[in-house]
Amino acid sequence: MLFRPDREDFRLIGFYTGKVLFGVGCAMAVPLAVAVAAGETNEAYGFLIGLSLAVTVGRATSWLLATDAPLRTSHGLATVASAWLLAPVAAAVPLLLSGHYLGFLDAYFEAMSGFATIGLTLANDLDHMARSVNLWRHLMQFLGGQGIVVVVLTIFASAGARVGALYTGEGREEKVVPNVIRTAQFIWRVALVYGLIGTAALWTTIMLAGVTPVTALYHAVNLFMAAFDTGGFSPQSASVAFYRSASVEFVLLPIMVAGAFSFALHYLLWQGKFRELFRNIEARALAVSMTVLYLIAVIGLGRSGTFTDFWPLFRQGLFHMVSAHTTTGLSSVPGRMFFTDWGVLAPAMLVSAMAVGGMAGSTAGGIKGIRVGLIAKSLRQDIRKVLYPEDASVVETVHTVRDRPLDERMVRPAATILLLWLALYFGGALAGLFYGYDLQMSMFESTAAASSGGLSVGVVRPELEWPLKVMYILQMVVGRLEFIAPFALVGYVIAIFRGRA
Amino acid sequence: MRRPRTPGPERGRPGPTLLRSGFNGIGAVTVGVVLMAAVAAVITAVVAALT
Repeated sequence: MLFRPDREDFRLIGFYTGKVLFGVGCAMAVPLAVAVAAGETNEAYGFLIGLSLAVTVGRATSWLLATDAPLRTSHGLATVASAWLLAPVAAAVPLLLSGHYLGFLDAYFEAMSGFATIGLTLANDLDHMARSVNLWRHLMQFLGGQGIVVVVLTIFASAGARVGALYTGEGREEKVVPNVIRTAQFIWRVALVYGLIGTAALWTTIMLAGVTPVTALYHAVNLFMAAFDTGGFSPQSASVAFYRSASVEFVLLPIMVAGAFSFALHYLLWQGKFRELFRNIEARALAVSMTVLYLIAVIGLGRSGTFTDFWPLFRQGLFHMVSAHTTTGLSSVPGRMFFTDWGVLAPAMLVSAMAVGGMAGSTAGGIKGIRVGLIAKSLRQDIRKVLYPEDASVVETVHTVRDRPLDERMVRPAATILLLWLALYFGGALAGLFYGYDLQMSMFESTAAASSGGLSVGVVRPELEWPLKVMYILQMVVGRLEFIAPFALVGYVIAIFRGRA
Repeated sequence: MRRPRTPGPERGRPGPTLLRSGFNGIGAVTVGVVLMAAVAAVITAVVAALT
């Protein structure tokens, strides 16, 4: 039975959404400072307007709706969904004022693609975009990957345990450490250490590729944020192909893989528990998936005749498979080449890799390794039950931190979410087909938007039909929040009209 | 007379430092990526030889 939400429910949701808006406004101070330092006056005004708007609305909302009422899980989920829908509105303001987008819908699409770490872009003339605006695109990916809510948790950590309900809404059911604030702090610590080392490695390799030191540092910072948070934006329209450097591509590999690791696994590895890397069900599922998909993709590439020698086959195949499987979306070839030159098999494997995605509790999207692993184990258990004598006891174990017997209660939600993912992928593809794009292109782009994969074959461009832009935006937010939080928000809206008082 | 030991988590072994932890984490990811690249290289070599 649905209960009609009362004023207190809306106060709570508004109060925390206001805090998130305030946080997004504060984040705009970084590109604003860069715009001032680089003498980008117009862009500085754009950021000033965006910052003022977000800070004022955010502060006023949380001040007007201030409440001490306890935050239930349903509030947390609805807050996460509303924050993810509203934060890009504020973030889109400086993008729109930069003049690189056809209208507000395009700027909102870009901001959503940024926060949801998708990587699809509608920017016009990206290669001549002001540095501050380009930095903002990448910073949105970093903030989105780390979790807007986690950002707010860290900064406004005054509510203590109450904010735990917010945290579960972001598709990160697993708390790394028991205390949610310490979990957020650990996530930031991992990002900081990887950030220092990854940026230094990228800076060096980009300089070796012939880019001047200051520009190389700017590119390294942006690329790190895009790769570690499995985002996929890049400072140049040619993505990683701009550098024409195998070294840059190979430095990006571990950064993308680290981004697709769950923070729970990071925590264990940081404690020196290396065996977890080989025993964890999710790590195993992803290793098997990546190996199989890579094998088929390479066979496809070989048969298409695009790459016949070892080195280009290895370099292009591995980079794009890792980029797709971690749902990053960086590319070292023009997107259209996937369909004009790569044959049929290899792009199909990239779509499959994006669909599977990374680990649950990471910055990656997609179905997630844990669900694939659980369903594979369940299938194996069923097959063994058929083959073994009737009185034999067949028990499959699942290893996450410790061994646990496979339980129906683990498999059923995994199967449900898997079905929802497939519906999301096919729903977007159907919309693409409706607007006349062929099946392969529609499926590729839909999966890229929903899974946060971000690779594109060129369907997503400024001239794209507006209903498809809206469809992809919905796929991005539903996929990023893994259904539950958007469903909770929809449930609140339905309860307003149909709920019992 | 000896004072009784204070119970509680503060008596446990100190955790690894940030530098040590980070080294552990990055080392494990690097090993994983190297293994993955090695498997990919073998697959590629076989496919390149056969096509």
